[in-house]
Amino acid sequence: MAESRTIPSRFTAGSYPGTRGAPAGSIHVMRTLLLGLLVLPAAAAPGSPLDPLPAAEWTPAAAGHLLRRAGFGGSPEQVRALHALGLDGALDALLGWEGQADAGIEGPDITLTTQPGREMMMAADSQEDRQQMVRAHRRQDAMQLMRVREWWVRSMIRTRFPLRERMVLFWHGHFTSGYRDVRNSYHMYVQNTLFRRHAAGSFRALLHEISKDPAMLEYLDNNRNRKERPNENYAREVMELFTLGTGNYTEDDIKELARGLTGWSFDGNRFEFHERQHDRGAKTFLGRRGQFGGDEMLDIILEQPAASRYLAERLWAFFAVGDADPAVIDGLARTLRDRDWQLAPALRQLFGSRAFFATAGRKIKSPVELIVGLYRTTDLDARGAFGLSLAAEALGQTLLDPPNVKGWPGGRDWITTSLLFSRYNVASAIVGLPQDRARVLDGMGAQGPAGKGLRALQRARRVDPNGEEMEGMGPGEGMEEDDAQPSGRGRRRGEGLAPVYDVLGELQERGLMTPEEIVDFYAGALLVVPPPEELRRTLVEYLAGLDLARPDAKERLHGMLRLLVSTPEFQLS
Amino acid sequence: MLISRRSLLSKGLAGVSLAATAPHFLSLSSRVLAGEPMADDRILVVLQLSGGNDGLSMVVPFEDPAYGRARRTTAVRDPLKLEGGVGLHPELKAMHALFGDGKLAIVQGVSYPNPNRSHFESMDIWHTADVRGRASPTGWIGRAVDACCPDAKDPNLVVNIGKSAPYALEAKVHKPVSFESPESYRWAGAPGDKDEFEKLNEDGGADSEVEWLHRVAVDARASSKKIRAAAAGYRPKADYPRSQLASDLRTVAALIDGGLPTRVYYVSFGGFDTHNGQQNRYGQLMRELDPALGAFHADLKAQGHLGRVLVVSFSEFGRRVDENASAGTDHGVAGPMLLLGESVKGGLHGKQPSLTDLDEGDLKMQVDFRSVYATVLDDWMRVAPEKVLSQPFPKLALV
Repeated sequence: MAESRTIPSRFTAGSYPGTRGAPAGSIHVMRTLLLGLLVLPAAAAPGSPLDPLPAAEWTPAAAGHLLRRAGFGGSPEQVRALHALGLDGALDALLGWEGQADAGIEGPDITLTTQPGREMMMAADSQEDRQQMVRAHRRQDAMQLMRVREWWVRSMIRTRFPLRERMVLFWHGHFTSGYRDVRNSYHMYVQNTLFRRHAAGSFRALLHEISKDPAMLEYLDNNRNRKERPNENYAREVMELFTLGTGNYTEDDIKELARGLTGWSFDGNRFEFHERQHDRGAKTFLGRRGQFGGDEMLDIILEQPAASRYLAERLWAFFAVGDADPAVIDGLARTLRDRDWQLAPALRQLFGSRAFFATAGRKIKSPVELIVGLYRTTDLDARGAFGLSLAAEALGQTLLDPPNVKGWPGGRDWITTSLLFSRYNVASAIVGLPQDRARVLDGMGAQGPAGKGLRALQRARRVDPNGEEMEGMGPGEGMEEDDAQPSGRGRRRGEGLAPVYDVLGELQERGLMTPEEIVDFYAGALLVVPPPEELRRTLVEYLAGLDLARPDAKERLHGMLRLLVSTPEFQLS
Repeated sequence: MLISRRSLLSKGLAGVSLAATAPHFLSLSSRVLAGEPMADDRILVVLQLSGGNDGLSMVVPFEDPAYGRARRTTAVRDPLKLEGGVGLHPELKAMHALFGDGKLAIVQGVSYPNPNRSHFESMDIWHTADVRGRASPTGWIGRAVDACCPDAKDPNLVVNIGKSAPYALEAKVHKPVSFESPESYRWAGAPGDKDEFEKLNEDGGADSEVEWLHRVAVDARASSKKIRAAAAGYRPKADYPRSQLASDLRTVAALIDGGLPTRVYYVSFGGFDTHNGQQNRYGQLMRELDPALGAFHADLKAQGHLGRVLVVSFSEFGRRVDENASAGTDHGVAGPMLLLGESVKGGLHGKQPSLTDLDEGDLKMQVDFRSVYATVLDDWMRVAPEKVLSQPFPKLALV
């Protein structure tokens, strides 16, 4: 039996854990295989870009591309291990986190789960006391947000299931909420865990739950949506940005959906349905008429053909690149509908398709991909690292606080002349020596004693999200050495970004000695396409005369790494 | 050497040597033809005061008895008299002198309808010139620069001195350059590796995305050199005090003098959220603001650039009339905007809002900030306001 036949049949059999559909019993597989002999697979028409990648094209390079996009990349060993599983096995491994334990990643230090309560406020002696209380709370809250952000980046680096974290990142940029409006770090954390729970599960379930999520209710004002005074913000954005896309609903639909969502609010940390504020009258919505409540209306949205296409487009734009062949979008949309909005089958189809592999090397990495990718590829231990989310912020991506409700447009938007330098500098600092980090730090502020002074001034002047000055706050640019740990407890002379990458150890382990071997290895590990001749030659010449036994070898090797990550080529995934 | 459009056109293109610019900036002659911004085009410097500037402490209505009643412990003493019963905070000595010379315009009572007293939301509204705030995908300056110079290729049209560009600079075409100091706008690798770095960041690239990135890299290197050279080689003609704000403004002066084609510079100065201990705090703020702005103005004037520059200062809101129980003030509404420059029609504009006829304890709006924007856009930047603002706003005689 031809090898290629088994791949489509496994698609349709849905033989992977945690999903509905036929169990992966051997009898079922036999039956499908036999059917496959008699009948053409129900997969896309021959020559469709959504067809699975032919086995012959499943090379280590393809595995690298898959690991970069569906994960955050990895070391050459990890890429080879993924390749050895075969495409199907690789997809299983990437998607198979249900019921599995992850690497030991400690949760963020959550100390604040409530806002200053009414009783607390009433007990205050004066207006002034109340205001002090509120301001102190806000400072604590901002520090907690920083801990959550740092924890999330560390999770991305250390997780065994990078696709799950990629999906959390996708949902965060899709169902956007931002701290600037939510002002509740605990709610932002809870929302983040919601995305993780539903990472590749049911979009339907996720849509329902996110519409009841306190951070989202606050961010898009639905907690203020009442029968007497409807607020249409969430209704509008949920259709325009989260489910259907512009042009697939009318202004009246927005009004009606807003009516359906009246009374959806929260108290403390829990969703609350305020019956009295709810408009239970008859509604006309997307061509249907009835006494719909919010839940039914969300389901009506999912009945629209536009909904599956819109989500397919968003997934493609995030994981592949740019505008897709309509056949690809239609195919993915159909899978979403056929599988009742389960994400995993559509993701599997996307990541296994010829079209996906054709986009290798054409996507500009987001700041998070760049930073996390570098850690994972070099296998750097991130446990002691802090300031990573600040590094991402410096590159234009502030986790838990996107610039607006549209999230991050990505692609060329990540690049300006100054951002390109910043990307080079952050990457150089990660693979560099302590003196490199100091130089980057100096470079990102002013130099010398004036720099120290200015930085102190900047530290004194740093304002929290309320515009208030913060004292004793954690890392500044994230690369200052004597800043507090993200937990906010006490101060620690930390290592900033992480332990220094042990390049000599790496080379020793692998038995690499000549400039050519070394450059080829790192270019292969860090770049997505074979390096241009000019790049390779420049770096090989840079290492000319390298003698690993000499004391200057380390400096030269780190120099080469810094140069390698300070290239246009390194920006691509 | 500055090459002015006037001298270029009078000498004829053949008589002018092509300025040495990076490969992807158009050659000088084609820049003129393409409408690239030229060295003598007008420049806007936006000074953002972050936190909610207490306008009543800056532009003090000292003759109004209601002022003393409202600000029992935070009243500003010995203001520098302007006219009409208002004066400047006593630390604003340079500004006072400029007012006397007719070169400082103060627009009073600036705000917008349905004011928002949240730092973020109100600042978003000022940044986008849109009451929907960040529902707008672009900022007002982003739209202005995209409108003024749609075909320009220079990457330095908008420069923000600071870690990250404010939303006001969000643009479809001309993305801002943002750095804390000119020295930080560069590759921070080892100086000895410079040659290799340059070889790796030349033109090149096998496919369109890599090629585009290479172009940005080339532009980045060239603009970094230009900006750092302008800053390092700069000899100011005024004494700048030692402060972050002064340093930032000095950088702007250096880049202007260095002949950069930048049309908008954005500088932020924070710390204005004076909920408590306002008397001292505000004094400190003015002691930093005045000498820095004064030096900036004097420097531009002595260098001969003042005619091309307009400085516009704003804050996301003013503060409440009555002081609070912590010897401070809380978030309010209307506040003043300051404009400085050679072409400024100095004096008090708008009306000092009444201290008794209030809106829930706040000063009532006298001027919509978008009127000031419309004036700056039309009369200074020569950009049609309708390209930036969603509806027409009456202009003021400011410039």
